[in-house]
Amino acid sequence: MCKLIHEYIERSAGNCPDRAAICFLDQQLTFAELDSAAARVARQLRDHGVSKGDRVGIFMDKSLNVPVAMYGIMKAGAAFVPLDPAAPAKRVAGVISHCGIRHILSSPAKRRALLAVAKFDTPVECVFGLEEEADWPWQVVPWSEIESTDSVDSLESYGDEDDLAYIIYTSGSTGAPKGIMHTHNSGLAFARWAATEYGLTSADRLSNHAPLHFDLSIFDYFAAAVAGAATVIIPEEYTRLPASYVQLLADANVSVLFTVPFALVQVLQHGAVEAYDLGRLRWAIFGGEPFPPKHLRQLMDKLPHVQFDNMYGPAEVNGVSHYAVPASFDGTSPVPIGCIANIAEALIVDESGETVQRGEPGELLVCTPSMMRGYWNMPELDERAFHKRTDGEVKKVFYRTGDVVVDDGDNILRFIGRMDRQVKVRGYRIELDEIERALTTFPAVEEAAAYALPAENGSKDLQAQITIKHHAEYIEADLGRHLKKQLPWYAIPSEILLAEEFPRTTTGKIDRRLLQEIASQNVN
Amino acid sequence: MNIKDSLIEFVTTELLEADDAVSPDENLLADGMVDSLGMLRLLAFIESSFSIKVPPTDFVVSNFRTINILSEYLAKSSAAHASSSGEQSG
Repeated sequence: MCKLIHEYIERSAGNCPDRAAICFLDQQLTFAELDSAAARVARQLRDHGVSKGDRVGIFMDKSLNVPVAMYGIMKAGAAFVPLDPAAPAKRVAGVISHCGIRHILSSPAKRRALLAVAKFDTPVECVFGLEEEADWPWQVVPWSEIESTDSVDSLESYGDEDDLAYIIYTSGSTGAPKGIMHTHNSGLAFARWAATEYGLTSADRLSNHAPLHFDLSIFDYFAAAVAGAATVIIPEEYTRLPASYVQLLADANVSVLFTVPFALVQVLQHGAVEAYDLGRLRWAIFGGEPFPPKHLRQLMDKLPHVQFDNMYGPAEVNGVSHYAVPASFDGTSPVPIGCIANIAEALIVDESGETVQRGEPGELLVCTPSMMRGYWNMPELDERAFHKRTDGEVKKVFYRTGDVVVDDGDNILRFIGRMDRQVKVRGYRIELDEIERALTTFPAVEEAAAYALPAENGSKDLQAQITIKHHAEYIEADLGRHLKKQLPWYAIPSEILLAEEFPRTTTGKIDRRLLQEIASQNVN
Repeated sequence: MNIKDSLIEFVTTELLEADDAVSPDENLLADGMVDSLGMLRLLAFIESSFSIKVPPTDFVVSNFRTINILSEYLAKSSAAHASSSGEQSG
């Protein structure tokens, strides 16, 4: 069995060199091509000072070069860090600095975005994939130079399964994103479980709908790698127009897709599903947030041959449960998150940490080999995230998911809500505290309250209310520009209302629950 | 105002909330441009302003990538619509 993630690509490059590994529209990489392209990247990274344990950024739009970069970085013994190519420059620079990233793999299309990042103080020394120009503050190495690299045979392999493989940054309640660290071991524990659970084979073709910085992409790439299957990258443009997405799924013979319910509701409403042949599709897996039951039933009726499935798991533990929706699904009950994976152990506990009675709701704690090592450089968050427990002689570490679940019988779990103020919008995790911090750093804003309302499209709609400082001049468009510099697009409230004053709880805090209740009544 | 100008105005002010007008050759589907909900608003705007029904199979990248491409598509489909309704009434 392979111990490192990239060893699965090396194995397939040996066993079936000419089989498709990655497809992107009319371009394709075979396993042999993917492996040797990744080896050239690894050689260049080593030659430019990357060593074991280093973090290397990937800052590019979806393309064949994304998996080449991922596997190249891992081959070099380093961990890859996806940087959101659409995030504000300040946020990207913040992640680069926090993670101590000295090397980045990018592309000429990101030139303008990188110039904006360069205005901030970061530890970056070298960017690969750009063309040479006089004004770069860093050393740049064009892709053409990577492609002409030889002597890859001399690349000695080092690394073991407990080394970091990748770090995924997600919204943090303190206002700064936090980096979830996964090792080869934790990534593979998930990928192997998923490949077995969904019965993936080398004949499968998995789509990659989510961008790399969204953890759904881990399944698309690594479960495929374990099974020797191909990954079909869905270009960003095609994710914006559901009929184009469906057409591409049909043309590329995708057999397994994994995406957020929001994207599938769009497919239902605008995907022209009847017009295309999705005969090869066997699994439609969704995750990230609950699927509105009514819409799921309608989509199942349009695609009766497809097995729909709800996969659950915070990025900290990867997927840890799934529920294959039965054909008899009634279209009104919430979709369960299923049974906990056979590689994992779950506890449902009350506020004092005691296991609840079966059928009672409580917080889900998970102990699994697919669990993260911790958050990059945030020991105080690790302290809160992990729950250590002694089970007889054995010491176990559980991750506190913050998700409230209930066991409906037969160990099938159902998600009820959050313990904290984290919300999901189109599958993206957002801390409402982070939005409020971004609002209150605008000079005219006195206080802010953010909340999420259910939206017709199957996701959530973010709204906020603000109070303005006495005598301050408030210009709405300036606040909009300010937010675009602070937050990713999916975290920007669709509506920001001015309030005279906020309702307060007995302890003097803003009564956000009341604000949200009033706002949702207005929607209905 | 012709179709192209109204599209430019709608995309610039309503979808991008930008100060500078979007260029008719700019890729609307690129990162940081119009997201999927924005594209749905654009579709609703087209159907209500120009009385054109866009069939689901036409709401695709090859017709909606830029304002130039979109205007060409709309011109063609409104011409087709006019001729087919002409046939029906005749």
